[in-house]
Amino acid sequence: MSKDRDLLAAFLLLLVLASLPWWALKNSYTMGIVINALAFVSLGLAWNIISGFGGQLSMGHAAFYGLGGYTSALLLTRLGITPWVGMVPGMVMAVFAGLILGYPSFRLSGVYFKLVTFTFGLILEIVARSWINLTEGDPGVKIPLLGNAPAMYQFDSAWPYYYIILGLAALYFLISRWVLRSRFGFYLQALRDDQVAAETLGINSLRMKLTGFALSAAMAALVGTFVTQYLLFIDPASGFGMFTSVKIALVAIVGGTGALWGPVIGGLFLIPLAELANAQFSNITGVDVVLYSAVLILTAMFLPRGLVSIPDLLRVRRAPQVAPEEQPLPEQKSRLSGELGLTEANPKAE
Amino acid sequence: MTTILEVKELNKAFGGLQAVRNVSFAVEEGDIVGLIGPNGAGKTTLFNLISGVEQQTSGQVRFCDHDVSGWRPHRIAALGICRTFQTVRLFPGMTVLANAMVGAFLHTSVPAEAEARAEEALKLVELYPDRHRPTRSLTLVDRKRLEMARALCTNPKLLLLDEVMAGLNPQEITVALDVIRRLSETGLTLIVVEHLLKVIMQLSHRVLVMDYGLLIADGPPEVVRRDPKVIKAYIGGTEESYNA
Amino acid sequence: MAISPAIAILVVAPLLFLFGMILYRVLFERVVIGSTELVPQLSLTVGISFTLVTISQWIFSPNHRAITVPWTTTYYDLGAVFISQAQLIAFGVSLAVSLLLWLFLGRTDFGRAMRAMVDDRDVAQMMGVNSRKIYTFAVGTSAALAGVGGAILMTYYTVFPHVGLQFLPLSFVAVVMGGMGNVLGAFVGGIVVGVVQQMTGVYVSYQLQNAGLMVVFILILLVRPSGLFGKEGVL
Repeated sequence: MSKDRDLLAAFLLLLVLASLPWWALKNSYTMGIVINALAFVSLGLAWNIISGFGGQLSMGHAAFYGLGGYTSALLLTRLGITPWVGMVPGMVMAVFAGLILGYPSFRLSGVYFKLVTFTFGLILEIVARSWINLTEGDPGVKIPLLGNAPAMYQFDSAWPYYYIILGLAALYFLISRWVLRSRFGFYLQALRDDQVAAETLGINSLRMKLTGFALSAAMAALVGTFVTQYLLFIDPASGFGMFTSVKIALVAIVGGTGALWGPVIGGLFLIPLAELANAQFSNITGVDVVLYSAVLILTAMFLPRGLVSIPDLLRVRRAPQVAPEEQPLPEQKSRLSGELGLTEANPKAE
Repeated sequence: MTTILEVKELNKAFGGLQAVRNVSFAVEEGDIVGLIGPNGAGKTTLFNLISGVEQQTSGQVRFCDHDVSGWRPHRIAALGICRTFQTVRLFPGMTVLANAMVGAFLHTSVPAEAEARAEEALKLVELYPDRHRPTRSLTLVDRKRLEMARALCTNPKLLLLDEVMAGLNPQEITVALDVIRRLSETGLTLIVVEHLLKVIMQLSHRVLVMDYGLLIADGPPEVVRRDPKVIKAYIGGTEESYNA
Repeated sequence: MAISPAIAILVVAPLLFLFGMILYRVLFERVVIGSTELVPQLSLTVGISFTLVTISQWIFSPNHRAITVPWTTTYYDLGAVFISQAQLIAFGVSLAVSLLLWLFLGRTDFGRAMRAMVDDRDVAQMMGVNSRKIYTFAVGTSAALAGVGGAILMTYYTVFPHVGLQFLPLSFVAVVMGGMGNVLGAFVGGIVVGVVQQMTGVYVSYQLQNAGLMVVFILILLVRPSGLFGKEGVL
């Protein structure tokens, strides 16, 4: 897809989504579904920067989302600081945590990064549950009702929330597109594909990965503040829980890891699907969880490159391309030297 | 001419295996130096040490008046050493052009400039028509070409080529030799590892010969060719290499 | 129906061993083998885990349950601390299991083949190691050991569908801190986890015991990135 077609498609999608409240989303429930979907589109776009472009799978991205939500919520309830300001320390906290986690684990293989991020999310959840003096424990932090108070990031209808998150998702899409086309994005992808080769071309792997991780964490934290203000509460499970982390990654994975459109398509497809399933089977708990699991397993087995790869798969099926076969190196070498009558210094040759 | 690279008493051991032993040599600016030796002689390890991919056990590498011993590969690359890999290492998730652009971004952060530089290098290795193809669809020969173009995009002062001509047919080798000679004329210094002795002897101003991690000969091709130690390493050294 | 945890272990372990092997052959194998991409592997395992948790919620309800056996109410006074018989038994069992695993990996041909696979899959396969058999066995063993752990912990913790999530981060921390792929490392790592948690709980604040653990964990990784017993540059 050409670069300008990406922008045009994104603009059209934005127009459609922006018009939805006027004709399709008649009540706050349906609007809530799309708000939720857009929040996960944004989170998926954030995750995609370090994990999709950079290939460093963050298994605990909820940690940064939760840090953003908790920091701004506590600053509001304890010190009365408006979340419009409080979201900045939330991002700073997330960046700081990202750098502390990233510094030791990026110097090792990718396995450590996955384990460390995963563990970090779970441990933050336990800390949020048990450090009651700070976090108010299991029940979570409730945002006091202020009615319509735009200056305090609170509104009495769903409309402003809808357009805030739509704007944020659009901004994140543009950031992703900019990253993909910039030196930074080329470097992240090169590191994902072959770190040793990338380093010999002058790429500072540690600095690039830390930058990517910090950006990704800050983006997730900002969404955390938004969702906390929209739902008017945050608790340890929804803020830091493994299920939230998995949903963030899932949105990008199902849509297409490392693809610009992956998180957008994944989020707009998966979240409404799960909400509908939950509404349909409201007497059974955990239908959405099983649905997510099923989608995860099926994607892993049949569509490892996500929904965005469907057009490619169809194209290949229609016009089968024969990939040039890889030439085995050693054979080629010895045959060639035989032909040329050169002195061959390969002891393995016959 | 001035010395661009100086290797002093370089050693590298993997556990009990001494892959590079006490190797010392210097390379003059603008030279084409051939590096030959039987398999396992330590040629690739030497490249890894010079480019910073591996750390030496002891010894020193000096490049452009800097002691680069112990530097991370990206700093060495920024100073002007670039290399290719014996087992071609491309970025399979990116297009041909994007691969080359990664190299070109070393000296510019403007994508359009990197693209122009990359296209120029792809024309040089005759991959320009394939620039929008995915890397994984390239043949081995084209992969080697792309890797070389990518390295050239970093605009190196010293280029280490690890068997870029293995697997090429005689015509392709002629083209590759021509490319290397033209690069050399622009002032680029090259160290070339190759199994094809005839090619190395034609191409190089100077030949280094390694065997069992030791540098056993260092001199002009016609001298090295007659060096009894070199002949022994290749023919009388081991039973296997005799059959080669 | 009341089955003693001691007997339950003997039933649970083989059943989970079998379950693990079936999981590998039916699902894992299609995704894991030959794939260098980690996304599908993670998707698959996380998906399976969530499915199992939800199914057990439907069957057993999300409630906490506890069992009472004579061991749990018997305490020994060791001067400074009280230790319940159940905890002592748990320590004994984990010691025995670790020892068995260590002996198995180091002293039997099959165990050595397993370690060879970890070091270099291609070479091990060339030497005639049957990778399919090894992986199947490894997944089975891992499931069985987790089951044994669960059965022991149940004697002095409550159990509920999400209980695994409580211990998952702790076991990850233990393994990474000890050094991955090392039985002794995992054992020592587990002890460090417990000691740090309890020390923080007693001397700093009970609320902060896991925060304390995280601090120690990050410190250890900063000093020894590959863990206490990990080989430098492994993985």
